[in-house]
Amino acid sequence: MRRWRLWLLMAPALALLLAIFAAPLMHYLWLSTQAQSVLTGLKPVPIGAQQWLRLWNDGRFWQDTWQTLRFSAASVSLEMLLGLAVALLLHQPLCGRSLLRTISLLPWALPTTVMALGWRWIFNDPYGPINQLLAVLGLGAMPFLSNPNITWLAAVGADTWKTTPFVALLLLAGLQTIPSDLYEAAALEGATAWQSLRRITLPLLTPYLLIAVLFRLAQALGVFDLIQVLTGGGPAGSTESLALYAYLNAMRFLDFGYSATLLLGSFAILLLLCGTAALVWRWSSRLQGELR
Amino acid sequence: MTNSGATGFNGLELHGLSRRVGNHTLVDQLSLQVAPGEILALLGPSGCGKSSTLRLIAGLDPVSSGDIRLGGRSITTLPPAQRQVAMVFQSYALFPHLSVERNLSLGMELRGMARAEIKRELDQVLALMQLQEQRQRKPAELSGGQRQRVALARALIRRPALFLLDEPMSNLDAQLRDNLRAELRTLLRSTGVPVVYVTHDQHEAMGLADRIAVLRNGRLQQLGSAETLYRDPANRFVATFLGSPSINLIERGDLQLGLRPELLELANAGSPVPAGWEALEGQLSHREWLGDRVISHVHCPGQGTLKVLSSEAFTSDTLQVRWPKAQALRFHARSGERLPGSSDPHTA
Repeated sequence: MRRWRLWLLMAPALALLLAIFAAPLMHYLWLSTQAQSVLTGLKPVPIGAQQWLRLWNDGRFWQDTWQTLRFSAASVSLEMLLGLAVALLLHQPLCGRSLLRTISLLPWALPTTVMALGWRWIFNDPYGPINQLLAVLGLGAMPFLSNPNITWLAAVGADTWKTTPFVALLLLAGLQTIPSDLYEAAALEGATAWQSLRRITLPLLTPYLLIAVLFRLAQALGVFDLIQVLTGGGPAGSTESLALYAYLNAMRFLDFGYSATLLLGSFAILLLLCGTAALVWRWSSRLQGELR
Repeated sequence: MTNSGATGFNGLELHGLSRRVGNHTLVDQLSLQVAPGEILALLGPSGCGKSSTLRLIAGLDPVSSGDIRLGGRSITTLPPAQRQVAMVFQSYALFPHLSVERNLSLGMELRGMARAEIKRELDQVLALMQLQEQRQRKPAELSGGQRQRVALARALIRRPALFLLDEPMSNLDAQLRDNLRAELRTLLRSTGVPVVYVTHDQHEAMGLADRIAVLRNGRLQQLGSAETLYRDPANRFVATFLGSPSINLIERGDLQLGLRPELLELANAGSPVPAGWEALEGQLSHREWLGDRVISHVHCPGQGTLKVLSSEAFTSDTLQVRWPKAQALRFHARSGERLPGSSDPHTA
């Protein structure tokens, strides 16, 4: 009776979760076993595991996986470093601190497509401001968006610029939970600023660092809009992400079945990575015990 | 001792110590001395500047003017770490991510002490504070009393030249506080260094300290033993702040009389008043029974309610409250300054 009532009370939330998450996933799982493309007249035709085999043997899928991981690893690590630096700075008692905090959030508040267009112009060769500056200095132009070895770094730069504020905000919230008398106690013991950072700040900030990594990793692994607008996946597919590849399959090649397989494939990778991060987080928070 | 301005005094000295922030004066021209082995309590209501003073001594806040000397040497501008000061924070400021052991050893690790030496010191202080069983626990797994002991242990292990405590008892329940007072006093005395103890609790100050400095609005009101402050307060503030139940104040023109509750005597209304005594008549409004004593609240028309502390309850409801004139404290009504002499200069 009691259990029955519990389920009844949870039913609305469960129904919502099922409709939003489970249903599309199940639909995609079904779709990945169907051929549904121009060739089938856009009608689903059952083909079993064929598309999963195709995925396994698809060089472009593995290349995009590598590129997505590379992009995520580089931008998330950069963002964590810069975000921590910005958070530590904004935690200091500076004059005009609240104004600085507001300003620092602006890049994050900007829609991605707008900022990606902006960065495309900044990276423009030869008319963008960076290359103009290089020309004034008598240096050669930098092919930001046309050299496969450089362009993915340009994308990392733009992404870092946009999402560092998010990381900084999360970490700033974490810093504010650390009581200031811990630092005073350490200072009385003779701790330098660096020792306080390493012995007090970082250990106590770990849960926040891990949450930030988790959030950012999930976002970066699914990167789409920034790449689509900034590079369109080029040059020579060198910046194409998994999400972009799946999008192209569905919307350009009209191969919905394979697009679903691709999405599920990248979903599996994301799940694996975020699951690992979550496990590390739980492990470290258990190690730390309750904070106070 | 190499400092050119070295004085003979070996303890802690504050000379005209002030701290101003904007227009606020948190500590105003504070001068006092604490001898080695002496416990001085800084007592006052919240916002009186007692914690600010402690932070100045520790070096956590900058001094606006004045001088702090320790062992005859000026430490006014030294960074906190070089002052050899140990401080017990009100919150205890234990590192939540470190075990008891690591909480205690962190300072020694930071100062680069040898591992074997750290272990020896640790074993010694853990034994002294009876914390051996808790050495691997995190602060969150300790009781309030244990946390306090860890905080004290961390201060002791520092081997400080000066001991500072900021309301170390305020997070403990009342009974534990009473039990710990004597223990803490013995422990602090055993260090042989000057101890400055900040509290807003008069019982704690009276029970622990050798001398008490009463502060108000950053200014020193009076400095002396608990008995001096109680019997011979410098002004109305000190008189009302110390004593429980608090002193009775009644108006006498531009004077105020301060009457300690235990000074007052009860009699039946209309009883003859002995020579040299003064009396008021009133109605008993209620009694507080304390076990060994009774506080009678007597409402005297025009004078408010007087608290009378006596060993036995008085049965009648209409009462006479009387006191020996010579023992009433006299204060200037406006300034609150203590005036010399007995209560009524005309008839004394």
